Amino acid sequence: MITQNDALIAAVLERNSRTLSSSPDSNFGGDISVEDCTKNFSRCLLESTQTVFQTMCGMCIEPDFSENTETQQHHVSGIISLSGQLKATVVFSMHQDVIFAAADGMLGIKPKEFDADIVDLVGELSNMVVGNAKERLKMQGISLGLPTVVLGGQHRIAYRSNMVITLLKFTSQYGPLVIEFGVA
Amino acid sequence: MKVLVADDSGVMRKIIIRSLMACGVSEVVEAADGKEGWDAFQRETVDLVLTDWNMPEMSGLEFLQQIRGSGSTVPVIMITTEAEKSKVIEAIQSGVTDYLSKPFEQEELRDKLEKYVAV
Repeated sequence: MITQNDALIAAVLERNSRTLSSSPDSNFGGDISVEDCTKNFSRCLLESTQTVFQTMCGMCIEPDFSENTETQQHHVSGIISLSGQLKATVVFSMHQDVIFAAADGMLGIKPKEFDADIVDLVGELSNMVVGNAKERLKMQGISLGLPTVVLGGQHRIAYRSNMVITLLKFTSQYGPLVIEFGVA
Repeated sequence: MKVLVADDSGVMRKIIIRSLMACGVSEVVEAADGKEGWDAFQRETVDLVLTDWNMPEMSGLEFLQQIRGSGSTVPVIMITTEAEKSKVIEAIQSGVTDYLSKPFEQEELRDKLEKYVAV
């Protein structure tokens, strides 16, 4: 007999699998190399960033595969760590016009400066992008930390010298977005 | 109708409250984590609880367990980035009434709220 709980579980899982349907099976399981992990996580982050911005903000974000590797400076960054089966740090950075446009799309407000709402929004979007990428990875036992937000003045994110950093670039009509991550 | 919204993100609370207003709800109690939520729940009489999962101090799951442990049957909707099957099952077995994973379209949230909001 199907209980009310069973029906609710089935409905929630069906909805979740539908929202991740564009993602090919990433369930690579077993022992995996840092290289494989990085490759799969990159793909999941590319997909999740586009999904989150489109769904939550109505914004079209496109991956930028150009070869430009000059050091990026940003107005705002959200930083999230992952622990458990995947140990990584993800930094999600963008131009102020991108986050202001996201605020308009999500909240219907037109901010002109960084305030508490913008800090929260950067944290929330970072959390959603990384959380959605984690689901696409289909690896069990990964936990997300709480996001940290860095604001202001054309900052640059620096990493420990022994960390291999992957850079994912995006463009939008409002400016660039960048995701950098390191897998331990 | 009074609704309690617990989320450590002020922006997410605003998004949820905007949808509640659109559903005709004007009385909202806000909490920035599960502990604040539980304090508010004991203090106020609410008709619906909306809670995030990952919050400092007390998680949404612990908050839900406190509510159910008190014998309350008030509807509780979990709105969270947690979409893993095991997490969904854990929340539902702990007594959550409905579950919405982020990201979501605002209409999806509104549709869900309308099921529980009787104006």
